[in-house]
Amino acid sequence: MAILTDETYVDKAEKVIKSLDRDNRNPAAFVLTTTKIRNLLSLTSNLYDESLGKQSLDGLTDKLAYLRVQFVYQAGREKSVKQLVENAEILGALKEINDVASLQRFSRYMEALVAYFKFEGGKD
Amino acid sequence: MKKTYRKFIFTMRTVAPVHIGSGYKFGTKEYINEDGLIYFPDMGKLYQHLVSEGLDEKFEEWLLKRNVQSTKVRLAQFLKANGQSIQGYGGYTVRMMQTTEQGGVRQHASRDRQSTEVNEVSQFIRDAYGNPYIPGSSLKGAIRTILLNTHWKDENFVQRYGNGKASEKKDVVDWGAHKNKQFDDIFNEIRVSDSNPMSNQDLLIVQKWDYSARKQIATALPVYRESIAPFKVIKFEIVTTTERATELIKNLSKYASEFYTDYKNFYLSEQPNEYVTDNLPGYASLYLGSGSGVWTKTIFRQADGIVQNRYQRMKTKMIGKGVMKLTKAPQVKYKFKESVKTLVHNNESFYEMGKVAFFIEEVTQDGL
Repeated sequence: MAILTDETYVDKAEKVIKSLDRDNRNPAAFVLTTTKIRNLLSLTSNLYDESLGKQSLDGLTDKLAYLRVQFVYQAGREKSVKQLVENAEILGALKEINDVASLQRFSRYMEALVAYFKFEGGKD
Repeated sequence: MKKTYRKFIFTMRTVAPVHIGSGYKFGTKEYINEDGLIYFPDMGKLYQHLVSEGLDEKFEEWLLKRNVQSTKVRLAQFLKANGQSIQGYGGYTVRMMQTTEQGGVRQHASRDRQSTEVNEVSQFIRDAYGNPYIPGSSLKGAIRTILLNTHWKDENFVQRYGNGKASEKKDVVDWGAHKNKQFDDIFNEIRVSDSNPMSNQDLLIVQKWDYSARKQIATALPVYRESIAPFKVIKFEIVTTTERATELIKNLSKYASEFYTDYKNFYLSEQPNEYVTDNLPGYASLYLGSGSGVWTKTIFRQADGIVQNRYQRMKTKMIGKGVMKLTKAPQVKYKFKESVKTLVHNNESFYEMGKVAFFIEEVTQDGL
């Protein structure tokens, strides 16, 4: 079954954010910071902008391949990012991108993650 | 309002490193540091190459590795260990300021890091051709700061909320359209162009240093910025559309000097004189871009007290008027009236981050 569909990706984002570790001393805050999740979003937002108006992924495939590497890299730098990348099945979802629609769905999924992160009290 | 377009050339000479960030930071695994040069490969290209060599899984594994002894896990080491070249993946190269020399002042490296080790590097803003440039919006902001601190200094810019928090009252200087009111927007009448594009040769990667006058210690921070090297010339065009805007721009050097004098009295006078970068004879000064400190970005007489409050509960507490923002760059000598002058007056090559000198001249009248 696909990791992301148009019907489920928002609910999935909500679940993922709720599953993230909280700060021991301040349960209202996440271990993950806004800066770090925003860094991940900025990886996809450029690609999303470039995909607008395109019919196929031609010309975006190498950027898409490297996007996966960047997620791996960011996950490697910080434990809390790794947890997010794993819980949100970001690497699996990236493999499912095969057309413009799925790329845009993935970008919206990233936006949904940031939105729920903020809604659930995520701060710097 | 009657429109009369007047055009000015704004000529800037950096007297210290200047950084305008693109927002992107290169991580430690995204560049190659060799012999004082930092090579930022096109990571997409590099990755494609590694895929063709069948090294992509190994590469991902290496990226995921966290290692505190970081010099062993740098990109150059990974490529060499796997028999790959450390160049030829597109991208660009920038010089790095070597910060190993020690001066007379007590210096210590921040936390557990060695001050000579490069970490994240903030990228300079670039155009679509990859050339660094200074956006007109950045310069306009610096001009606005000067004007608000001088021409509008008697206005009250502080807006207080019920909870005691304060912010800038943005409508003190009228802007935007209002219903049933004549359009009155002075900063719409001042138009600042982007700079001419520069090249990577004009850039230098410099480290952030904080100097605490209280502790008399300069601290190297793990913050690196691609910056314009000192003594580079950059040109902008400024167009004014009304009489009153023209008056402000014509007198910009005078306003800048007034701002500088006040800033000096307020802040620089509390700092050691040898760390204050010289003004250039015949030029006015201003501060541009990141790292120059909060007092060069605000209406500082009014922000004094508010800014400190804001940082009270952070790890980086601000004491008094804060630390002096310095950086190291090669010493520059220049000739003025038959005598040789230097930009900095300390042995440690410390510059004030973001300081530039400028002059402004009108080129044509109405002839646009």
